[in-house]
Amino acid sequence: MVESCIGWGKRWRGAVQIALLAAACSASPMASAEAAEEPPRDLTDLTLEELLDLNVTVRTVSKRAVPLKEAPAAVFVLSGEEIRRSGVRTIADALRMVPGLLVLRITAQSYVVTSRGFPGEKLEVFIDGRSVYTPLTSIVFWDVLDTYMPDIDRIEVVRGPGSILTLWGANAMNGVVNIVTKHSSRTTGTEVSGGGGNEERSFAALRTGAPVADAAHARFYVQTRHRDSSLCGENTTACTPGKEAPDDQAQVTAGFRTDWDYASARSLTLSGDAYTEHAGTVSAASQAQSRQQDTEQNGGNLTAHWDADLGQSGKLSAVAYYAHYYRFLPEIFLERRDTYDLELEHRLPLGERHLLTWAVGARSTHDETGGRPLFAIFDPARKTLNTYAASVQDQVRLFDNGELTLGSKFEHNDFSGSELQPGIRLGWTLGDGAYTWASIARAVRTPNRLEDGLVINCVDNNCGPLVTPALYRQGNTDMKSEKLIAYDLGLRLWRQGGWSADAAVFFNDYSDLKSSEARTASAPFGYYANTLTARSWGGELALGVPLASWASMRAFYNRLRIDVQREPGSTDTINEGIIEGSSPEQSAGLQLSLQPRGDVSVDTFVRYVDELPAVFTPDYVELNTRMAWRPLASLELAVVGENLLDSEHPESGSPASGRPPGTANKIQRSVFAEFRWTWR
Amino acid sequence: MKPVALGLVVCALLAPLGAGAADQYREQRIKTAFLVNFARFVTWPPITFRSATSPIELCILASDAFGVVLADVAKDKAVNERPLRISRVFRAEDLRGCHIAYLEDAAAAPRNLAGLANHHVLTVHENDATQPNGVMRFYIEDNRIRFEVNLAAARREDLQFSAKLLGLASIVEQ
Repeated sequence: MVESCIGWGKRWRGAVQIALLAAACSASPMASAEAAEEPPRDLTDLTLEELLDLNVTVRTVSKRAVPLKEAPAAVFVLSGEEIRRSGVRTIADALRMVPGLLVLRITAQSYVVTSRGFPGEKLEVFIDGRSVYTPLTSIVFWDVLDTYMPDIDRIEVVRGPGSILTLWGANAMNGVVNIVTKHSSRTTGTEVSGGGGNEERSFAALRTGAPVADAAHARFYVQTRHRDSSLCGENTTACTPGKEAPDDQAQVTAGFRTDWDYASARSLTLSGDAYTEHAGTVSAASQAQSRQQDTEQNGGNLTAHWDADLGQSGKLSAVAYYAHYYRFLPEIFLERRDTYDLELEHRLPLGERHLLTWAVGARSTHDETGGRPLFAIFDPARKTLNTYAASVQDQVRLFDNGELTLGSKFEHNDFSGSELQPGIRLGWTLGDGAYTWASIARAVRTPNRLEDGLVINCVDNNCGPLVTPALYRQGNTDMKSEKLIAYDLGLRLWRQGGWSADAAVFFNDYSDLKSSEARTASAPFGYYANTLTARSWGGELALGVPLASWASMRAFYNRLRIDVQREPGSTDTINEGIIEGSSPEQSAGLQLSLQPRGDVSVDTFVRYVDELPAVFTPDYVELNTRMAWRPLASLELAVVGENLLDSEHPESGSPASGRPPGTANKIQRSVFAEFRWTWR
Repeated sequence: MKPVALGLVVCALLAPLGAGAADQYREQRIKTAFLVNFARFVTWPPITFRSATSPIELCILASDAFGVVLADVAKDKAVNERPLRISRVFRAEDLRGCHIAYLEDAAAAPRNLAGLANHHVLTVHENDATQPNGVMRFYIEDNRIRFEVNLAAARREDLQFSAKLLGLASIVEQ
């Protein structure tokens, strides 16, 4: 989120608008792989003798396929099953169950997701290998990042720099979220689902899948949703205090995926989605209560993946995608964007001990901004950004217990030129059920369009009565990348088929962080610069406890401290407090899954988030629960309650100083019923 | 189908990660494969089939993990010229019309098995001990899955086991 983008708007309502612009934005990217070493999923063609010879648990499927517990990074995988059983309706809400991630719902439909501080930015998000943050502001619009939720196979999350994990690293400074959908052979049959309630007003979906040829499958889905508004804060002037805010949302999404396994070790996947959304303005400009226009968004994408197992020569994969995206926030800003991306990766085993991976990629993205009258203008109004990336890394086996990964990413972008992001990781197996790892990595966040060319358009009193109508340039064409040296350490302990514990601690040393410098003492808006440094430290502890064959529990606790310093000469007196005070020092979650009978399941999730002093948000505890019953094998009925402990609560306010507490939109208690009917 | 590498963005570290995650249902996959295989080596009394082409019903009373695994199993399987129909059920009563019934819940097995006796069902359970009403039982030895056949129960249910299957099983009479 770009709260800090307006450091100098102190007393002016414009600051709120930018904060909203920021809030309206919410983004992040990463991708990963379903390993090619994976064993066949369908073992039913094996003979009895072959089956009797299979190990039940597999330490290493092949030399390189290590289980999750032996990954040398702060990693968590949320399974599609856990997502389904939680009852969440959006990807952002699902991420609340991931240790170390902070999810703030700003309005009915907009979210900010953060890993290890700096809400909304420094997080890379991928869905099936497609990066979804916008280079305009480096944030992810979570409200339009959507797919049919039951088609999600899993969500993989890495906390800490993804710099040697991914080819693209411009935004992977504090973490990577990778959403992977199911192979279409696993979604055959037809499924109809739907439901509604007081906040999730109505939703409906149809998904159908089938084999379409020899070794080829396809699926298609279409879904709609209508979400009710959040509640206006009691001290806000943007809408009527205590009443429904004008931010309800209606959305239609459709998409498809085909998988063609056309030779013994070759496969081609094509997928695409299209969506359109109308929502109330995120928060109307102060003077604009009389004209509540809808935010308009639409977009789509088409992605092709090709994979080949070349045997001795390793594995080759390629991905190409096109994505289009349009977002119009009346009176605030407009963005239209087309992105083309091409990537190639080769994994090559060298001898017994080395696995060499190299990759290259190119991305071209063209945007158009503007429209009138708008608060945020970009100079130039249209821009094409070309980015070229390459990465190389070697994984080396050390003795029998260790694995060392050395690598670097190289990237050239149109703002800051060439960037180098090297890293080193060491993983060590301590015995049966114990593993430790450590890493040191350098990561950068490259400048975006906002930091380069934002111009505040003060007209018609929209920046407040004290601001002379004019154009105020806040962007700085000399912006540098933000830099990070990250030190990470982790330990995992587990009992086979039993409890598990995963602990990670980190120390992050940031420099050249984005700041807002005063142009003159009296100018209402400053300009962006790189005059902040910061250190952050903390950690996450996650526990898994199987209580019985029909009951299990998961819990996590996160700790975070950030200390921001100004470089000598800096006039930015605002962002220090905003950065330090907009992430919780502590947060925690507890998840209980019960299946008292084969046809009944009850899932409960309680979360705690500490206060956010910079955004006037008190700490809170909230509870979600879902009760499901399967009267027939093909039919599931469920009742879901979200945020049950309070009739309403704010998750993040506006950071603009001078604004009183209680201006944030409040998220209300939600109860809905749903059904899911499946034909095979 | 073969596995698909969706690793579009370079993810050398996460690729192994994916494999680990994908393998979490391995035990269920192997057991499912065993159950399908059992159908090939057992003969049911004709009364359990409506016609010469009616399917062999394999029913699974199990947790959601099996649901995930079953989604990956080919739907068009045939055994000894009969189609094999695999379905997941949610109540023990629904196992009565099945030819093979798998009962994952070890603790509930004695009770659930009692309700299936004399229905010509090849029951496969997970209890730690041989059950008088259980025909077959899975157990793990040396990190591998093994199976036991209770010949007394098999005779009572009128199920004919092939010599090959019996040769690979551990045999009990109870």
